[in-house]
Amino acid sequence: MCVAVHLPELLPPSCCYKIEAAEKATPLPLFAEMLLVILLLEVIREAGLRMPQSLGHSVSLVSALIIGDAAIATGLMSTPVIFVASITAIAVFVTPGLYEPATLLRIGTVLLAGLAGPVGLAAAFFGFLLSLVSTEALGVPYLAPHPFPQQPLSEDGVLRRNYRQLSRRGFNIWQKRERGKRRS
Amino acid sequence: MKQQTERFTPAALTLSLVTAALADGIPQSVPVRRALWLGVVSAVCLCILSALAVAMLQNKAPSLAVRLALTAGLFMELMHTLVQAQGLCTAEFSSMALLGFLPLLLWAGWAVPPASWNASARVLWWFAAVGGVVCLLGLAGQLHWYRLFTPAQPTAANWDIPVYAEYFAGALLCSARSARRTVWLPAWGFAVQAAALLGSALLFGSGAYPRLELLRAWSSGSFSRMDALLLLLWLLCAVYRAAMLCAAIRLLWQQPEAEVQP
Repeated sequence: MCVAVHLPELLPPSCCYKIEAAEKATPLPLFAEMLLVILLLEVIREAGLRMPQSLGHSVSLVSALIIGDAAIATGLMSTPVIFVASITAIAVFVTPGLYEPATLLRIGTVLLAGLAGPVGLAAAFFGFLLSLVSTEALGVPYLAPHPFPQQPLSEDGVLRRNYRQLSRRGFNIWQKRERGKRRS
Repeated sequence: MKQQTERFTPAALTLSLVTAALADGIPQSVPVRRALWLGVVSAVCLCILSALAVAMLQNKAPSLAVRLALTAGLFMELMHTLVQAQGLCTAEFSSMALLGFLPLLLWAGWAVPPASWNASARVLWWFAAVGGVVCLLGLAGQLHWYRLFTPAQPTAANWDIPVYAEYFAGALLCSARSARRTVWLPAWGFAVQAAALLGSALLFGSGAYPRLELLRAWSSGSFSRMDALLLLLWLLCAVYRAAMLCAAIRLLWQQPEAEVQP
């Protein structure tokens, strides 16, 4: 959305023309359209969660299809916005456990980028980055100050090693920490 | 495994400096080759001065005069960066939003500890590295050495190089162990400015074009314009620099003052 409004030169011309043509045919700006689609998707999802399980999925699916189709047919929303919103809505389900924070982050980023453009995008990025800085997993900061090529905490972090070899030496964070304490 | 909590890392200072150096650049009032030679000499002199400052200020409490001088320098840089970032937003993105975010930005810079800015710098360095590679890939086929030797080049007597307060504040802003690495800050600043100047000369020859044209010349297949993305990346770094300078000023005044000898 921010790219289409403030940084259109980043898009290939043919794609930019199509987005511009779709945008001209709708009464709302891209920012309002995107916010409306996100809210609609959330309403449909909440309705699906509260219905009996046998009906919930099919009602969500049918309502999303019908509402999406009707919104485009009446000219209230453009196809690119529906397309991008659908992709992001599905992408959130890659980590279902983080659905709520990811949705809040999405709405916050859309609001900031829509209201303040690239500066809002930068602000959202720094807000996210600073929250990531203060995040820890088992006492290890997400952004721990280690340069990239280094000996990892767990030696089978990328390639799975032989368990027999690994079990000879400590290979989880706590064992590693204990070993570090003993050394110091 | 604790993050460094007290001071800035040299990487954070270098990122801030590289951001400023990219925006300021070397003035194109003299021929490119002469500007590069003068830049090398200036960078060496500034490195020596920076080393002297580190030797004088390391492991010592700074006097009030030193603190005031460095604060004034950092504050001027903060204002300069904000003006540059706002100018970019107005000219390229038609946005005045930075002014609205300014109080939040200054508050974040003041309140967030240096360790968080150090961690953010590590992420931004990766972004900057990727941006540099993307920029080089888009310009690779257009740079030609013969343009460096074109006869008609600007000639002027005056020549100046930007001097930043970070050059002399390394000993106070970084830990005692890493302060020595801040001696090389002028070299980093010059390297970035020289790369931009050389790229501009290899692309356009002797003409004094705005540095932005270097980004606008970027081309790769159907994606012909990547300058907005690179400018957005610079804006990110400028926002980082503004917040980090606030944190640096706070850090300067948090340190114990030297006792005045009668």
